[in-house]
Amino acid sequence: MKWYVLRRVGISLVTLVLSSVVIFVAVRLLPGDTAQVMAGESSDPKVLEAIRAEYGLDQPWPVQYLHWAGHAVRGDLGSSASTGLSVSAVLAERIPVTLELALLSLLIALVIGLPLGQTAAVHRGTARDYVATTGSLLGLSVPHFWLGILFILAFAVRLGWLPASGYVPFLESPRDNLARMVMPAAVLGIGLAAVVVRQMRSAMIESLGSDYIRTARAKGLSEGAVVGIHALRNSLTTVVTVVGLQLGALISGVVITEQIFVIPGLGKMTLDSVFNRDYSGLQGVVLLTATAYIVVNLLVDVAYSWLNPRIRVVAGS
Amino acid sequence: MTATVPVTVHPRARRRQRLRRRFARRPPAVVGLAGVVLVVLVALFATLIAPFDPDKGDYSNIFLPPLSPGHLFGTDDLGRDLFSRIVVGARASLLAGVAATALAMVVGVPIGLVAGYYRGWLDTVIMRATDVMLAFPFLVLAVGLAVILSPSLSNAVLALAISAIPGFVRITRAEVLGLREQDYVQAAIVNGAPDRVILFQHILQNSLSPLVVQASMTIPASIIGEAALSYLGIGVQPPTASWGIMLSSAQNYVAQAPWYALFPGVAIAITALSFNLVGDGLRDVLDPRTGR
Repeated sequence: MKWYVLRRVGISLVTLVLSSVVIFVAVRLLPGDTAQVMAGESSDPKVLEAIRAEYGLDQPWPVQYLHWAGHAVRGDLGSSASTGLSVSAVLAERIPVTLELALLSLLIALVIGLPLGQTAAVHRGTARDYVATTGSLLGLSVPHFWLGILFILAFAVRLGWLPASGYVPFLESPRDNLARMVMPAAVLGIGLAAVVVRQMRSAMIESLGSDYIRTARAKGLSEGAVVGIHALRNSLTTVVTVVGLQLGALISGVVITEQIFVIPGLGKMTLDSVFNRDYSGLQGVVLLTATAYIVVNLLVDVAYSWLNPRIRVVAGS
Repeated sequence: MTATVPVTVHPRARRRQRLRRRFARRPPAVVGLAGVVLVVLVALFATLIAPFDPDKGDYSNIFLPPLSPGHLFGTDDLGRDLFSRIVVGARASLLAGVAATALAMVVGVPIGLVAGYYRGWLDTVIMRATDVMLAFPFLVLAVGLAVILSPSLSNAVLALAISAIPGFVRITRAEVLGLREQDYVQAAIVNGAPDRVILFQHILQNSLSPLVVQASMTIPASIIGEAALSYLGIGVQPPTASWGIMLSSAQNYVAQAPWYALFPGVAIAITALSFNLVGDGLRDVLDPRTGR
């Protein structure tokens, strides 16, 4: 187990370093001159030269990369070309916003997805199963942003129950915060719930067909205990793994959802950085999301192999 | 004296027949297939079906509600016929879905074949590269590409294809790892068959099922992806009709003309759902291990 974990950590570190190189090079391929953005209206070559020298933009790329990566490891991601603010400080402000949105949507996904998936599996082949599976496919087929527009139309414009957009920090006013977060979280959560239903259903069907369930039934356990304790617990492992691997899709969802509901999180920062040509901001936020993705994948892999020793054997051989 | 003449059916034809029958026994899959055929026909004959020029505005007829005379779905903020725009918009969506998936397969499958067959350092390099690709959420990648290469349908397709490649690489590689140990592949190796023949004739032909399933799931994801990119203004460019662009401009008029946002969204959802139903059906029929 120790070697497996060390190997996985090593692979993740390599992936992270390679990702950082890709981010660094990709950002430099974007059109526009960072020095020009920093200089604002001024196009005096001497000013531009001075800015390039000050920020090391006149250095060869490998030197610039080592400088950037060296600082990034210490938590310093430079300063925004357009606002002059520290990128790390801006990220620190935005992480809680996106984290709240992601966790709320995950909660909604589990609350909807787990019981529906379980019902579909237990009543396999019945009307309930068809409703749950077709409903989950519909959830996968409906675009997030359209659902967002429909929610705004229904709950903000027509019914007037919720504010259409904006953000209030939780600590400032929990009520106003939740009122603004519930629609975007539901939009993201419904898409994720569709994945949870499908995974829960197939994991549960597999569990219900296994020997230990037959044993549990044979020793006279009630059907509720068989399904609710034995089958559920074993199915959850698979579901948690798959949900963990949905992080990439969740981040893409966050980018567009934050744009629709004007939420100042990491997703909106990504698009704003691109459109404002704020390349240090873009480097920072993309590096952060890539790191989050790699770390979550590592944790999921390690947790899964810990729970399922066969994986370690296969991976090690 | 009568003699019964045995009718010999080629095993492959028999298998196809069996698969068709199994597919036909799944009502959701059949409904999905009907939806896919309908959308494809609409896209192919869009100019014949659309009653109006989808890009031509008529300022005397802006925001006509659905079922207005001559305008089944009503009109938009420029007085353009929404039904015509939806019909013609099917082209961009289908093209993006199919082209992105085809491109991802053309690139991803050979890479997966090579990684799984030769293993060793080549496999390690390829797998790390797919890890790196997966670390970038599709929208971030697409936005970056749109800025580098300028926004257009072809660049949106490129971004969608790039983000779908790792899926095809991984699935193909996993299949090859299992198949290369099979007796018939080992026999071909011992007989001195060239790698090209072993990879494309023996291994690829036997890994088609999971690839077909993956393709049928990638098409709807790419259709939604194209709509998302066009919605953000980095896919198809106006005035070309695209369901994503229609949603983007409809968002400003939700209170005034809710139908404007309704129809493009329904079109995307029905198309994606049809492909997903077909994909689910194909998975059940072709890939019993992962099927339901």
